[in-house]
Amino acid sequence: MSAFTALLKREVFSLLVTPSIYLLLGVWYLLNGLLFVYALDFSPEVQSDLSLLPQYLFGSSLLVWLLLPAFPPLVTLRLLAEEHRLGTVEPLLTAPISDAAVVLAKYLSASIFFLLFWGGVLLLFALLASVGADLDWARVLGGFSGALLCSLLFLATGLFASSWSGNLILAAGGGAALNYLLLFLPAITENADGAVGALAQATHIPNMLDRGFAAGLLDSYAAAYFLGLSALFLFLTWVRLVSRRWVP
Amino acid sequence: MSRRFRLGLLTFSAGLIGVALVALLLRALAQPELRYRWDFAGTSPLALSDRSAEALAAMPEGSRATLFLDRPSPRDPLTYFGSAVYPNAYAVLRVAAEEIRIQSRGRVEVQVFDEFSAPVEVAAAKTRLGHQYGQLIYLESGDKRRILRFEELFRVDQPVNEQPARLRSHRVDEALGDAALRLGRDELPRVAVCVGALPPAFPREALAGFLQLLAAEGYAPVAVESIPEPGEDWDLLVLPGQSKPLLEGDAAAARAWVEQDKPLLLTLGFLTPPAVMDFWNGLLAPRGVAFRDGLVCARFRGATGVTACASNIALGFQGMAPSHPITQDLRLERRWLEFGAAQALELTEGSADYARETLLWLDGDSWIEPDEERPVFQPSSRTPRGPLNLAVATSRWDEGDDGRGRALLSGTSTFLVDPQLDLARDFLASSTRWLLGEDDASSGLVSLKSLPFRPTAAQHARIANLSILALPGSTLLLGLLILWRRRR
Repeated sequence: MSAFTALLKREVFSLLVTPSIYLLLGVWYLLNGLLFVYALDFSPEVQSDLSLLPQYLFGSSLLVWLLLPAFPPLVTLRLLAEEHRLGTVEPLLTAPISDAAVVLAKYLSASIFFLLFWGGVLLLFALLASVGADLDWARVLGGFSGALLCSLLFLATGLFASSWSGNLILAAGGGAALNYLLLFLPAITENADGAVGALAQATHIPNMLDRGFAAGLLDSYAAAYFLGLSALFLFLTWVRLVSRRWVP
Repeated sequence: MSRRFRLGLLTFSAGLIGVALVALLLRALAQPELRYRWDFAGTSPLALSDRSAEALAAMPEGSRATLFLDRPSPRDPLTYFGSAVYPNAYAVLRVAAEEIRIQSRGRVEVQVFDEFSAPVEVAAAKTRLGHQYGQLIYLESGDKRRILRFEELFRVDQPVNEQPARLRSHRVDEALGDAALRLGRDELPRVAVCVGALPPAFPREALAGFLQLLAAEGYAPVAVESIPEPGEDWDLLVLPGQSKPLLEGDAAAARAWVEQDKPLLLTLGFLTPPAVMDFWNGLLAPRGVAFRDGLVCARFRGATGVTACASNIALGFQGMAPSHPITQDLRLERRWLEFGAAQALELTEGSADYARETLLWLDGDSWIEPDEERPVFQPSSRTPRGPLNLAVATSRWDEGDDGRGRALLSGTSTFLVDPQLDLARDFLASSTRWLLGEDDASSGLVSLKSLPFRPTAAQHARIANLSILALPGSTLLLGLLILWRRRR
């Protein structure tokens, strides 16, 4: 077993035995469940046409605007900040494993764990299908893929925020602030003229989810945007870690 | 310099380099030739075709697409009974907006205004574009503009028996492609609207709405005083009512226009002088159509129970031709038209070169009030009874691709002005398209799925219990179990 796999296993196990993570997961399921039932109960449009439901849940709903930016940093906050706080970051960095592998293992463990978050939401659709509802699975799976890619980005920003200090509140708050910035800044400047407007439209996350993935279309640019920015924040996290060695 | 500051500076510098690299990569990947949108199910109707993509990419730099996806009026029947028509339509249009932006390669600046947009921005855009309810997309290129309305983009099953309306199909791709092709041309089709002989009750300012409608459809309408010669660069002649005989030069131009089979929209009415009617009946004789004298009346039973004449008539979808390109969609969507002071048209023996089809008619309860001097406005045994033709379309059997010989003759002009213009917008828009040989307006229809779901009480309870109680509850329980194990 390579050092990377061992570290990944350790990180996943560490997340699995953290009670607070289950509290987060429970709250996430509860809020999504409420939103789901609300859409079915109080949205006559959704009752008239269930193909709108993926867009409600994965596209432009409260889930995307409020919950999605907040939860990933709560999952990642402990990954590096906790190591800082406990002083275990130095031994970790001197262990026979590269810094990049440390960052990747921590990120992958959070990503794998976050699948549980979205898996629960997917379960709600399966539940709906089990009671006889006819669903547009292309849109459901499209929306799911978009939400997953977006979560990968928000986990990367969370990990980056977590690498700054041992303060858990700063780690969670910083990650969430970055995510809200990525989400709201383009939305605010979307209709501006010229280059600002063009940049805002090219980086508008809810549009990518709503007008692409949740509509059943996988957009190569949107996927590249999420993965590219994720890679950028992982790179910054790595720089943050190795710079401790470079700067005495 | 503190260590913390140096660490921050290093991260910041690395960040700048990283951002630059990612920005360069994304900029390259944003190019349409490197950008792919895969359809998950292979059935999604939302992506634009190559034809539309090429037309959008060929539009001049600085073109604009503005979409108004604001909340529909609660009085709109398409919102009754919890209908999902507008949310579904807007979902299609949001995807289309993104497609326009991608496929136009940045040539078309896209703005989407919805219920979350800043009201000040929405109001400014609406004022600039003279927005009216139902107009969804404005495609602009320089001073040319094409407005796409809801009815043009979507086919809907109207609400019946307390069942909500349903979105049946859309032709967003086709309509966008047509509009982009039209605006991409150097010259828009030119429409001459002859206002030199308008009836006195019909001021030329009243035609402003009709001219705006033509401009919104992507034509270049011009109000002209006299009838143009066929050799002049006009594509369509519109004669919106006529109160006096034409001058000699105009009469010759009109004769030449008709004889050369140029497209014509002629609307007369009850008050047309007999000499004018005779002139046009003579010209149109080969087409087998003639205007009839007298006022068209629809049966109206007053409070006293006496049958009287209603000269302002609401024409239901039952009185529209089911298979003609101008009226087939109006009939399918159960629309109606209003008009007044109408005269009827009759089909006569014409030349075998022309086909004619009645577009609008009134049923057997209508009649023609013949005596203009002493009208009684009540049908007698001698009054000509319905069905009465109100609009007839003629075309050449051998018209070819350019729609040669197409004419639309109407026995009323009142639907060219407000308030009746509002109901006749789609009729006039499809008429103009047909007259100019662009009558494939119903092509490119893409079906939309509708998946209604009305859970029973038991189903609802099951969904609610599992999604709100069971799933979160079991997760929290698992967390408590782990906490308990760790404490031990």
